Amino acid sequence: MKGKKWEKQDLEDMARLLRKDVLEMIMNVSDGHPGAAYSSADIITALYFGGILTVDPERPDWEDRDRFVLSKGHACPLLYAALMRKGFIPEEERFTLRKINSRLQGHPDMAKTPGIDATTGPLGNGLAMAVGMAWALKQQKKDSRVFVLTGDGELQEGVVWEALQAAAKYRLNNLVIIVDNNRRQSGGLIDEVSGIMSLREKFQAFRLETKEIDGHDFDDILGGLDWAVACNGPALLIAHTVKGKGIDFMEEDNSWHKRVPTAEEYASGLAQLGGAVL
Amino acid sequence: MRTESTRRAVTEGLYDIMEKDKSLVLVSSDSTLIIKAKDFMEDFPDHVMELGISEQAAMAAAAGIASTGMKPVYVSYAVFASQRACEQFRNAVAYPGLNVKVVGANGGMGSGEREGVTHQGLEDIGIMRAIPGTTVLSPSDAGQVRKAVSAMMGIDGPVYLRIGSGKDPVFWEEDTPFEIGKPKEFFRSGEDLVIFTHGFVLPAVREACEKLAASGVGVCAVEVGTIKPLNEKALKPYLENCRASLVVEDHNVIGGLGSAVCEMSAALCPRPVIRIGLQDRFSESGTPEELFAKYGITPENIVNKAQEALK
Ligand SMILES: [Mg+2]
Repeated sequence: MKGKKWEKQDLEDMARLLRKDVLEMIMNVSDGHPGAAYSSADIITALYFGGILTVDPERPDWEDRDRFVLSKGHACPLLYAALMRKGFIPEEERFTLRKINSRLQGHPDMAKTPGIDATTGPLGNGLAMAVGMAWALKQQKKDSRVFVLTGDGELQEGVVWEALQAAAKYRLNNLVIIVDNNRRQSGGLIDEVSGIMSLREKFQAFRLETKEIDGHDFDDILGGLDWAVACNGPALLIAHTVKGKGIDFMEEDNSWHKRVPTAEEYASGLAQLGGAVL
Repeated sequence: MRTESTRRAVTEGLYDIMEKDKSLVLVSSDSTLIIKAKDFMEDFPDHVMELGISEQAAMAAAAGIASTGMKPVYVSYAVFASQRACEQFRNAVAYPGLNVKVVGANGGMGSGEREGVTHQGLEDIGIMRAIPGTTVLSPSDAGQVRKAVSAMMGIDGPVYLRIGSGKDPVFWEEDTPFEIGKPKEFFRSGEDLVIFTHGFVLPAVREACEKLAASGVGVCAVEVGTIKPLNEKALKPYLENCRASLVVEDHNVIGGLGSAVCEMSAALCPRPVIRIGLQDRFSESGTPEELFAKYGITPENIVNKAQEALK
């Protein structure tokens, strides 16, 4: 079941609402990774509300659905917000995030949460899981596609390149990989922590169809996703993003990788996202 | 002693499964030759996912395959399946309870094909046993492995199956069943001493039992082919009736069946538990006979330890 085709303005409004949800959730539990969630916010909004993912909140385990794997699992509050606004999770459940007895675990749990297709968070594994899914769905002659969103820092994991080898070998044309290229990881700038990025060259050497997009522009994101879906083999989008995008004091400030706002910061953030302190 | 390959037995078990269930997938990290699966690959090319030498991606891909409802069997060496891909098994497979079967070859030093420590699974059972929700099986010959493959496919959840080198002693009559969770008593002259064991050391245990019985010791021997979940109900009476127990296994004495029996005994029925196996050290290259002799998994050593325990 495809969502209705939204206008760009609708998508921007939804992305703002999801960011606001996340800020409230993180504030409520006093824990979380806002920077990483915000750099992925527009991509996840496009997937769920831009007519890309074929999913059905009434049948979260529907076997013909498209799959979404959030390999950068620490950004999951944003995904939970999207699932909530899409109708997979009741709205009142959001403040159970990271609390005891909750379905909303600190990292995505496919066994607990409706709409979560893969248990992720341990960096690098999501891509290999997505490759297995894509292979198996093709084997079963299903039209379902697999979208996986990875961070750029987690590309340092060897398992990612093991998985990309297999994706290329099997020409998994039902697999779309999106890299949230915010150029930062927990310890700082990727250039400083691990040294080498050269993403495009690496991906092309692994024979992936590769395209760069602006990860905060819906025309660019949706155009890129349409292109990737139409590709003959596994396709990869390098989405240029800004960590913390959407709240001015979080943008490009890596201390927001994992941090909880003060009361003043919270009020300011909410105001920027069009909300008010409840 | 007649030998038969427990590795090839896995492929034969997969053929049996394919007759009734086409959702099977053999996942390989360039490991199909381990189980001599060339014919299976030719007969069922669409049922083999070959990722190349990449155990971590293979394990995580198996999780992805299982999430679509298919039934992946990932084959590798015991040491790499349980250690190099351990985190993927724990987080991607076992935590969500996915239906992935993992087969580990070269389980133990005697199954190491002279390859040496790097290719011997010496801690695999301890590692896999420590992961919640995981069934751990260690059948003791090729016929048992064939049946264990069928049995494990009937479990909806993660299973670790330990196999050998390909030159594995035949111990059981061909028509002996392998039932998950069911221990098998294979020697009894009395109950003063009980020996719990698994894997390819059963012939040595039987020989030791014969010697002990000849010298008047009441001994019984029990194969525990399902190490987790441990069938405490079936095993507890042996502890209750004995004066001492021995565990014999080709595994480090830390973490394996010996540890499982100690845990059970401490909780349910305290008895001396003597563990015969690798005494928390690494082994080396050599034939199984040489290794077992050097590291103490011999009928003579079992007899000596039994007599000490009964003093
Ligand atoms: Mg990053």
